[in-house]
Amino acid sequence: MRTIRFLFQLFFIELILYHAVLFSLGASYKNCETYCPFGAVETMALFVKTAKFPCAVNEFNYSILAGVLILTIFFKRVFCSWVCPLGAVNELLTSLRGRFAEYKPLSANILKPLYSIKYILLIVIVVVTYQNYDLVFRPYCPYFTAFGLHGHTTETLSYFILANALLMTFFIKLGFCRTLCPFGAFLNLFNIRTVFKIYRDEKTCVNCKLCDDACPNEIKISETVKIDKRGCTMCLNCISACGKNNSLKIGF
Amino acid sequence: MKPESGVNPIIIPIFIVLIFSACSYFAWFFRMPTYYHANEELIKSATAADYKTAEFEVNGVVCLGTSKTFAKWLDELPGILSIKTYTSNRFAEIGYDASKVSADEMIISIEREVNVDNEKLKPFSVMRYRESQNSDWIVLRTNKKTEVDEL
Repeated sequence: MRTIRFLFQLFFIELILYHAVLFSLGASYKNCETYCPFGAVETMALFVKTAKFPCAVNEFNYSILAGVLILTIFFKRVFCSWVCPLGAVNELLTSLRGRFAEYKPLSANILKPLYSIKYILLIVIVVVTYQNYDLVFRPYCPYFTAFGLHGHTTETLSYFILANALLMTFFIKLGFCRTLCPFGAFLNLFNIRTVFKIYRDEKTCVNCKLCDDACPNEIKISETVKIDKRGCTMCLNCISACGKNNSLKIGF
Repeated sequence: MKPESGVNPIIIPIFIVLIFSACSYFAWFFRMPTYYHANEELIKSATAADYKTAEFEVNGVVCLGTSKTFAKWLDELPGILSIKTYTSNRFAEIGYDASKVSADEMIISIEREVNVDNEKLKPFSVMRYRESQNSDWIVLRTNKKTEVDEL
């Protein structure tokens, strides 16, 4: 399943880059923005108010957002681990960083405030976009900077922000996704009672904790029966890592 | 469902493919204009023979703001009945009275240069157009990255 997920991530990265290259060559109007569901989140309040698409957002962004929400309701934040190109880059960096040295566990006192940054960012972005009637945060969006191939609002600061967002991964597993990503924060609002979730069979589990080590979101899977934590992105790394008796399974 | 009879994880990629395919279809199906403006009085007064709908692919029509500028400039011409823009593919549908205005006049109006802070700016470039939905497309430019200035 890891291979299939890797291929999925690769496909979506290639798809975005393909459109970015076509756009930069002047062969298409579609670029990485066209496929960004967060553009729809940012401008939703404006859309509700005016019934018109503001800024560079169009029906594609809204329909993709609808699809992502349906996916989240069924399979938690599966978008983050299977589709999001920036998530894939973060995962790759986390994996590379993990090969050099183990991540130092951070205390809950440090992690909790860090995790709340993304919710603050989400509120600030939505409110400021509403007030300014424009995608004012686009120059600072790591996704647009990474996959926009130097898009028209990209500036030096954009690359500085992207570099810092990726650098977080060297201190925290999936650092950007877990602490800064405002779209992750938005999806968390719908990631409470999902249809499908991962279950651990206590009868067959030998408590080897391989699943805990495999989880990029550092969820203590071995200490729970029903994995319904908001952080779970259904990457299925835990299921692949489960060494004994297939004790982890998807159920509803 | 109990974990003993779990769901095959392959359901996840299948579900993702189905959902995104459906989304792409619905995005096209429910395509809505970024900007729409119609002059009802002029539409009533136009004869059916003269009422035509021209289609333009215009580089520079990228958002609601640019759509409004585009519409404002076209509205200065006589015989413009309705203006509809679709920013996702930089399209504009212009309802017009063919006895009062021609497509060439519209292009001149769209591609005008404006002075902003002593600088000449050209915000729109027509890539291709057709005078009515039955006529052929006339291609003026092919490179979609044709330079246009931001207002």
